[in-house]
Amino acid sequence: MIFQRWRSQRDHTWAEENLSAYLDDELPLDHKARLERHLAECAECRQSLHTLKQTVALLRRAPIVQPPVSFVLPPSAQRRQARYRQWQMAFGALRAAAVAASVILAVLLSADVLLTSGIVSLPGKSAEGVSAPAVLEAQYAGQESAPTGAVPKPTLAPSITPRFTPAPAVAMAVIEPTATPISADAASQTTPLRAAVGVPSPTPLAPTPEAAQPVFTEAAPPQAPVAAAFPSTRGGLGAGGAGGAGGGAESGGSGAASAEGLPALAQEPAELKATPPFEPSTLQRGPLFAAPSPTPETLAEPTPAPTLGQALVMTSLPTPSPEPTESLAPSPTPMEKALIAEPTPSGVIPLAGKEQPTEVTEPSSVPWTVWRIVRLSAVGLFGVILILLGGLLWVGQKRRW
Amino acid sequence: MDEHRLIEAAQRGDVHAYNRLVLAYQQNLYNVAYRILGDADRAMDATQDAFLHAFEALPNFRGGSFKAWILRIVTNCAYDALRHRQRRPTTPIDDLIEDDEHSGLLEDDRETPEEHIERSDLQALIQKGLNTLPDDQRMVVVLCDIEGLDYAEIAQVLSLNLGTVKSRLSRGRAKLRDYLLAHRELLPSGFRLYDE
Repeated sequence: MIFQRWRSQRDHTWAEENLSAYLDDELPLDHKARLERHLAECAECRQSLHTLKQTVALLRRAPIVQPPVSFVLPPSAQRRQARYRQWQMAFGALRAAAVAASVILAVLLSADVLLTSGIVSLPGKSAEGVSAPAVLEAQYAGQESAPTGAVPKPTLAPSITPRFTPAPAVAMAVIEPTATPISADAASQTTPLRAAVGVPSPTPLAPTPEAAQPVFTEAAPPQAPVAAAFPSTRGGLGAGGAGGAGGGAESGGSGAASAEGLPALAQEPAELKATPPFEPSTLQRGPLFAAPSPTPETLAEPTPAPTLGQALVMTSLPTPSPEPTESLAPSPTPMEKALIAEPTPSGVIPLAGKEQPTEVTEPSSVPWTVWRIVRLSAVGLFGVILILLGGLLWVGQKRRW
Repeated sequence: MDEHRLIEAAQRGDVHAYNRLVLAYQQNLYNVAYRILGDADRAMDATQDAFLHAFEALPNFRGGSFKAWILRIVTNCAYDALRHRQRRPTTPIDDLIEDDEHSGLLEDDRETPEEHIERSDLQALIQKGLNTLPDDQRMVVVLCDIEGLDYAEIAQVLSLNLGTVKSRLSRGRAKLRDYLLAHRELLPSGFRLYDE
């Protein structure tokens, strides 16, 4: 009983909605039959259909309104048609320009997001912010936790800051090439790794062609352990400099690589102790070496594990790097002062602890700040263009029919 | 000359050929605009705009029903006028001054004065009833019950699907019926709505 009442109410609602189409004979046959069955049962719907039919008949008999004027066009309207054609062509060009500007703006914004988030790194940026300050902080932390006279790795990163840019990015960029030529050189000499750790090659490290390559090609993760295992005075650089640099520049991958290299160094204290230091004459060859070089005792002490772990953790953190190197690094040591005060005329800064100064070329990419300005200007320019085109299209759309 | 040739000539810029089309359709367009807008002056402006825009855009006409195409233009113009009126509501001067001499209705010489008054009352009541409808329902009711378009043509003119046309027409007719039933005493004697 309740179901029948509910069904009747549902049919009644449906019938009222379809009475208009039934009058115009626009209902499908099955709907028409269903409506007629309901009309036979429902007096209210029959009444509604009747009044609706009268209303439609009234509307269709509504008097025609005579236009008070004639709407014929003057002959000059022919020019309007020609102008409208021209406007249509311009409108099509505007639409194409708006689409192109939208695509370019989307590409720029996507690139901006990818670059700022660190998913994609450019040559200038990979050397700059994300990794370099973190490495410097890590090295600084390592210096604080290490005993006095420990591995002098904190002095390396700040000391090799080139003078052509104050940004820490370039400091990092210079660190990385020094590690790779050395490791490449060690690999080219086909010296076993353990032997390289135990006995340094007597031949001075000559600058290799790879040293002149851009920074971003030289911070390859597989090379970090080799650089970390480099003997003698490079022990400090290998632990803090090369490993940290590799981990910083390549974030994830190199971090793991340096994590492999650093324990290898820590597990060889005896070999490091047996490693003879470089000849004083070799170390004092240039102005860089006016500062006291690491002693064998210094090299004999491996870097404490917590400090290295902390360094790795810090290098993996994305840290923006607007701060200059000086704010992150400790006060310059005499070696740093020598490095900063006396770079080589070509802008190439040799590294301490190497038998022969390695020539490092300036990164070939545009400086990061300039690149950022260009990027933001391009985004803003295309945004303004897009807004203008949108306005023109909005105005033009009102003329389209 | 048939409509197709006139359209082709007008597409080439022949104003005279287009004016023959204007004369053929101006009463339909003005009626639609007047029923939608409910105001003679705005209806005149909308109709004039529609014919001008139609002539400009005629090279884009790709065949089909010219009546549906030009009715689409006039409904767009009327809709623009409605939106403009909603932004800047004004009282037409015609509403303030009763024009007894010209009601805008088509003159019929065979009509007696009583019949003319009766027809004027009917026209006024229908227009008031139409004005109570929402814009979208009013357009469908005007195109269907006053212009006599079928559902498919209305869907083409208003760019709607058939289901939307059907539902808007049903709701519009029902509201108009309720209005006329509520004002049945104002209807002329020959047009009374009777309950069964």
